[in-house]
Amino acid sequence: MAILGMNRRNALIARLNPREAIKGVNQKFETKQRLAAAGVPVPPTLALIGDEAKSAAFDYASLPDAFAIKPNRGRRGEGVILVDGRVKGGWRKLSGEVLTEKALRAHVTRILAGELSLEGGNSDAALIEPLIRAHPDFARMVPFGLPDIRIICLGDVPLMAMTRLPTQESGGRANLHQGAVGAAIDFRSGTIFRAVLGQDEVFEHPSTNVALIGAGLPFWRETVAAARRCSGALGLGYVGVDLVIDATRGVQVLECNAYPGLEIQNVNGAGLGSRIALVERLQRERARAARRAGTEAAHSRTAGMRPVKDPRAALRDAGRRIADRVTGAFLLPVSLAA
Amino acid sequence: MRSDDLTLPGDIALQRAGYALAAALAATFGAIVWALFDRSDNIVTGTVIAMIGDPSRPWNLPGMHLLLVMPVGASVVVFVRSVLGWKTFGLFTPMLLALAYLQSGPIAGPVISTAAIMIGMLAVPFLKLLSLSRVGFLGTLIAIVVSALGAMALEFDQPALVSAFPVVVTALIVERWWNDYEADGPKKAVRMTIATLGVALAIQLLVAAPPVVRLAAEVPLALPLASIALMIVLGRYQGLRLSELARFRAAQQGA
Ligand SMILES: Nc1ncnc2c1ncn2[C@@H]1O[C@H](COP(=O)(O)OP(=O)(O)O)[C@@H](O)[C@H]1O
Ligand SMILES: [Mg+2]
Repeated sequence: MAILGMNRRNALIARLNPREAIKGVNQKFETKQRLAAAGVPVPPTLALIGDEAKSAAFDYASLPDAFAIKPNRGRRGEGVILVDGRVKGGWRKLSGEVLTEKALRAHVTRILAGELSLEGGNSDAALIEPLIRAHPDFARMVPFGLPDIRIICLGDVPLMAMTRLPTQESGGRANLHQGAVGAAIDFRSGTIFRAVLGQDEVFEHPSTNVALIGAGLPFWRETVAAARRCSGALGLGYVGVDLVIDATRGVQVLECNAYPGLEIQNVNGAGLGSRIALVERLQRERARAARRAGTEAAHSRTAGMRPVKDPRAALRDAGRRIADRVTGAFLLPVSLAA
Repeated sequence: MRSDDLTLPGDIALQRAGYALAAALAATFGAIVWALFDRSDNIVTGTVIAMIGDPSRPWNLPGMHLLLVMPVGASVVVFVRSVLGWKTFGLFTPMLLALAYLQSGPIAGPVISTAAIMIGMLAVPFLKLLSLSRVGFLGTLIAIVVSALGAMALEFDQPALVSAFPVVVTALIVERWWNDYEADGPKKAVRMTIATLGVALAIQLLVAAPPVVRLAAEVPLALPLASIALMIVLGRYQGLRLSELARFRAAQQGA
């Protein structure tokens, strides 16, 4: 019960994540639009190239020195190219190689053909964003690459958080399976309290030797606040939010996952199952209390038979009561994060 | 990030070496198949027959039995996936594979189908170079598997061995194997192949066991009805899978 296994996770997702919402998060641009509308900070979009005609008309030379290009329905970072600086006839990739404008056009053609996208599609759009650079507090911990933060949310309640720190061995990728460090974050303080590399607990970053335990993350309150809004914005009851902290723009939600992995439990040394059970129990109790309060209020009013003096105000009150019952500002159970 | 700009030049040499190794393995397996089934009088087949009996003997089960035990195979698959937590290709692929085994015989089924799968696997990298559509790819793969099986049937002069063999299942296995190979690398794909073949083998041995055959003959509906009950129970199981006990050891310690 304490640990959330695949069987229970899949049942949870089947119950809380509607099909349409799951499909929705596979489209990066549309996801960004929805998140932005809900006030969630996301990376700006420089261009969305939807077809060959648009690509032919697009002025690639007008792109800035540093940007990222990716398939709108990509997965596992496939087809992502990151450039950071101009050279004669093109740009310099983060890997050091040169990306000519011709090569960039060819890459867009591959993206448009759907070659780099999720299965089940034979066309896609190319998304171009400014390059995100790691905040100095993160950059000092890693050799290179962009660390990210994963927060699992049940509705707007954050359940568990970790940061993934690239290593030399992971080739700068923030992926635990490729050898990145996973570090568990304490919700109240925003500091790292446990770090894991593969199966082993570590206390320092293996590539930089920077002490990890107790290290504080920048903009932690904003990070949690952004993550909490994603569920409502995307219609996913259970969601894994991936965030990055940009050196100049601060917190940005990079991606939301409708099937978040379970490895975060090993990083935290704790199970998600008991936290989910607790939150769901609290939500049920709250709903029951709200229902009871609602019926009692109705009883006292009919018993007294007071004439409605201001029907407008009464309606407004009733509306508020109903709204409260449905969304009912749910407090973050702080003890969860301990 | 698995974008091609990150592929190292060394990877290509590594892939070639891996392919050569796979081809060598397949050739070894081919030699074993040949030794088992070659009908010309040679000492190897003679010894084999003396030791394990005729390798091409059929199961000789009634057609009705194959149908009745399908749900039993499905139950095994459900159990393996949600209680043991082993990954196999596709949902009911091991069950279909086991049915294929039942049609071809206890030894001939696994051996011949594995040979066909290996030939398909070796052909995939070349087919990928042609950048076919998915149906085109699968269709070609089916034809290749049929050619391989046909060649074997002719060589060993046993047309019955492969006549009813569900070729499409083999082609689908090969395709799924390739997808997983591309997505998760050779280690995981090989592990899943072994699990798929192993579960198929277990299903074959279970549903062809004499007590099961007797039960199916005496009370035909017992097996399907019992399977329904079992699968409803297994389908509602939400506890940890056996494989997860090891996977989440770190999480359990802290909890
Ligand atoms: N704008 C960007 N700036 C810098 N790196 C980026 C940017 N967008 C994506 N990346 C890198 O590429 C990886 C994959 O991008 P993501 O948007 O998560 O797509 P996917 O769905 O393919 O995982 C990220 O983890 C990050 O390291
Ligand atoms: Mg990603």
